[in-house]
Amino acid sequence: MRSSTFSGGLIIHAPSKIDTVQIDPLPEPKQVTIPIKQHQGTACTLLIKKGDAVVQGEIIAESASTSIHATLSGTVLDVKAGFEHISGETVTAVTIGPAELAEEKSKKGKKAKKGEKQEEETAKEQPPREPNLVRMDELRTIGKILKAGLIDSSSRFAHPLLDKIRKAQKQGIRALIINGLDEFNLQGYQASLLADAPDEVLTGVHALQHILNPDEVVITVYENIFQAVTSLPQDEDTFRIVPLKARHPQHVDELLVKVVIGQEYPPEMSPEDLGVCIISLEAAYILGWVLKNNQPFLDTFISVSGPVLDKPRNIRARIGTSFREILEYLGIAPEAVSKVVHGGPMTGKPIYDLERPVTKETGQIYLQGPGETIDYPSKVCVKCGFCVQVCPMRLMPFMLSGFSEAGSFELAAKYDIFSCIECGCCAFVCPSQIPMVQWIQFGKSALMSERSESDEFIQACRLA
Amino acid sequence: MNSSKLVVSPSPHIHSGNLVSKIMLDFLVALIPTAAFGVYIFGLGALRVMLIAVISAVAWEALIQKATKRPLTTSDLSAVVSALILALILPPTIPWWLILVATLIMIVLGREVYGGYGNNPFNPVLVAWVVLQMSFPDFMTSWIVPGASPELAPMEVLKQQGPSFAKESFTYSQLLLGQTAGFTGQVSALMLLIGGAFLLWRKAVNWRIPVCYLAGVFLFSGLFWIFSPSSFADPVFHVLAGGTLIAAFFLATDLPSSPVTPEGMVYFGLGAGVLTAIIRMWGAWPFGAFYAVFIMNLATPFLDKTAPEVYGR
Repeated sequence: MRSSTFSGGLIIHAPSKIDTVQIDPLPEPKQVTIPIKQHQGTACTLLIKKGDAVVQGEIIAESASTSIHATLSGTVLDVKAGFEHISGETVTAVTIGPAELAEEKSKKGKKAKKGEKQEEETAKEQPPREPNLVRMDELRTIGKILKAGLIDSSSRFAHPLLDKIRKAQKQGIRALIINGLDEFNLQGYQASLLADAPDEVLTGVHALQHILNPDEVVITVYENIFQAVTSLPQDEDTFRIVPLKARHPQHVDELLVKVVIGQEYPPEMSPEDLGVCIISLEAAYILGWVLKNNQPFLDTFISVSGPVLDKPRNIRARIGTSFREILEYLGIAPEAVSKVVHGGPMTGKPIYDLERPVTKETGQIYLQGPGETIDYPSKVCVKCGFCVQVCPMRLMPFMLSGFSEAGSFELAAKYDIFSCIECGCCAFVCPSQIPMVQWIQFGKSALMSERSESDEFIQACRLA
Repeated sequence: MNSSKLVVSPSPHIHSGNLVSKIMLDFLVALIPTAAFGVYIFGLGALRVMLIAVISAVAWEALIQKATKRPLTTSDLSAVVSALILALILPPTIPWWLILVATLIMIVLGREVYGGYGNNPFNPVLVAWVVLQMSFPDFMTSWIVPGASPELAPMEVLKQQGPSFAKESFTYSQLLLGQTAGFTGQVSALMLLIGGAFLLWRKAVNWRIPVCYLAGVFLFSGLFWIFSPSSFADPVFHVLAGGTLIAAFFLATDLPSSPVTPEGMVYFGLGAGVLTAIIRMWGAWPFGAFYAVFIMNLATPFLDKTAPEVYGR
């Protein structure tokens, strides 16, 4: 049975009709720092070394599933381990800057160094030059996806788009969901992309349709923004746009499948097992852009929100730009923020260093000023049951959290701790302000390390 | 790199702002009409009970938490709310020392021995009430009689003199507007309904418990009344009299001792409602409502087994 929404969750309060927020491009940064892992899974292998000259768009790291490009022309100023990926893994990051910043630089990098303002113009004026650049004409779409290093950032984790496509192709799918929902943000950039650049989005959607051959294609948007995006050429035969209730966490795979397809699946399964492939609207847009322009896409879209800002913003920044530069562009002094969250307010991870670069995975930044951060002092649970009522996975969050706190991990596993999607609803409503998500994460990691031997268990934890 | 220090903490980074102390504040506000009307009907004696109860309860709590070297939790206002509810179900004539005993039992036996408010298996107010009811039955039934009402509380009249006499003695408007003998928190059904509506509007309590409780009382007592109106009191009398409303909105809804699952709340409410009617109709005690909630507290851990089926399972 399909229903228009799911049980539990949090209503995202907003007017019933809102407009999209335009995407403002940031000026090109002077220097970028590019980690060699910008997705879940295996990190890419680095192809360059310190002192090398690189050209914008050149592949500097690659794996079997994705590629990472130099997003500026210049010299590799530094290759340094110590970038902390969201998964906790520490990987290498490459710093690229103008040649004159380094002492002994070859001249090659210089001619590429010009002062263009618009990234798109820059990209167009600098056609690929080197042998390992993407040669779009010769490659089929799959190859393009690999060489363009596309990442799908729908749901909770960013995976290489190619991995998703391979999996979907293997399983065979009946429905392709293009997920245009941003976490807890009705005016995120994905809605803007659909409203402002429908051509690219549809090119991408058609390409995915061609590869995956699904029976139906569904583009999901929040219903509040629906009227702002319905101007695009509706082609009932190929896809339909489905407006969904503004309810957190509607954007995750589990609840998209539930609401759009009307089915549920346990944590050891994935949407592909039900014949559903979910790809973010952003990935569809970038794929369309790449196919149209025959170049890798070097920017990342970011929705910035939070009490520090007067109104939510959408920006487009070169991959590798530092958070500090983004704050600068937004006109926010570093002293005016006390918490900078990489991700949305409900599930994002705060960063501790403003020099950290944004990556393909950066979809949202949430900013809080001094006095606006929330403590979770963790008082005694009063068994109010609020967490039970809001849990979209119909779990008993206070028990999972309590078992984890008490070290009774097996009991937590018995109560399906691995079904928890860490959406944050339980902690948000907890009147005792127990950091339940933190306890549940702790319980999960304890269980995983305890039982990491068991293959079966690893499979069960795949999504957790 | 001389960046200002950034806060790092686990998600989520926002909170609803609904804290235990705010829920308790809602309870306090919801109790104001009943408490104020009780003072109006019974005079300063009722106010005296409330003041002694609240002050002593908070003092006991602070004292015990200090003695056991645990963090002070008086600021969550739960002791204030419990004490006020307790004061409302004690007779206005109760001696001061008995109030101190009652609040001591409520705080120590009712919650602190279990680790504080939140871990208590029973409603602490009812623990104290049951002990007093058992140990000091005379003090617990010495009423102040307002106006031309019988000298017994409505449920006592029903128990001792039968339904037809109870029906004659108390009109609905008397029950609604507090022209009966009894404890402060049962005199005016109207004031309790106002307070209850406020709690529901503020979503401080889940609607399932009070609604199902009242439905349980009404339907079960109504079932017998339909078949034998002469030997049973009518369902409206059961709802308006005998502390049914304070039990429904303020006692059964005690967060720690009531179920957490939506389904469990329905069973809890219905069960307490049916038990209330059963105890009143066939039991030895006139105040079935409080015993019913107390007994249903026992079933709470079992009722919490009605957890919803996990997504995808």
